[in-house]
Amino acid sequence: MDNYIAIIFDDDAKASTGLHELWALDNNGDITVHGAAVIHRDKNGYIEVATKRTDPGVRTAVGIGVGALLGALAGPIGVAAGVAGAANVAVGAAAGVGAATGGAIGLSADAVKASEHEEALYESGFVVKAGQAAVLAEVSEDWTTTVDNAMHKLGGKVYRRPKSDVRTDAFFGDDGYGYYLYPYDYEPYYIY
Amino acid sequence: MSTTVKSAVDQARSDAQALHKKLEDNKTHDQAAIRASLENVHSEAKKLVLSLRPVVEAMYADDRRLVTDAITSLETLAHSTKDLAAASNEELKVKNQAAIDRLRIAMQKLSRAVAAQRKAISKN
Repeated sequence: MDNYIAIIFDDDAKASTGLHELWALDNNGDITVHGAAVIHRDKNGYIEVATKRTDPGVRTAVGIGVGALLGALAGPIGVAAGVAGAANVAVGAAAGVGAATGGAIGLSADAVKASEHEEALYESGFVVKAGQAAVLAEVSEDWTTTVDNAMHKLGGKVYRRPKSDVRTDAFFGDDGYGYYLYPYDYEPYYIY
Repeated sequence: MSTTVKSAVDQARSDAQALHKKLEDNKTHDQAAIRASLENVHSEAKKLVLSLRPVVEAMYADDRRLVTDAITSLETLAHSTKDLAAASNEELKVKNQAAIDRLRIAMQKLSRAVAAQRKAISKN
């Protein structure tokens, strides 16, 4: 089954380990990872995509796709917020404003509000709280327990949505959000 | 399923991933390095095509289509990265980005084919 998954961790280091473990499962043939990226949410609520250290130029592009993916993972209501958040990234980039206002990197966190009230609106319950980090990925998996067990050992909590469900409410081309995820393991790097 | 023995498609995917990393790293390199890297990509892409062609016939229709599409993208990649001697710095950067995009398409197809193969193996 093709799924989009989000694995929430309490900090960046654990998320980085989670990313590597996910690709290790792929390398072992247990699952197939089509792409993955790491994000974190800062104390002000903004979300930054961790790119490769040598690849800062793609932050905005990745941010647009990942922003929409965050919304898609949250559910139908989140999709609208996620796309809106993605649009904010594009506007921020064009205006050349800083990260504190949405910025050329990172994106508005509208898709993943942390309050209990807003959390209830999102059908999946997927929320990235301030200070947390997450691995986002597109995977093919026969059993969900493989990823769930591996990530649970690392302190991660896994959320998933079937790609077939997400596609119906996404407008990001034939390959969905996969284009915006790194197609191989990498060392996550944050500017801020 | 857990296996350390990679199929030809799986190995091609791993090789394409490594190639993709090199192309992305080119963004921080100078003209001579990009040129050398793209010339290497030309030969690597041809090698990948040669490694994939023999396995296509043995695949089921849907998987075959995925690998065939990947081969087509890799052939285009190989074609677009030859004869770089006269290319300017700007042209090399454009070609590098085009190569990344082309390789990305091939990798997506190979990744789907690998997933299908793994699923088939796990059922047996």
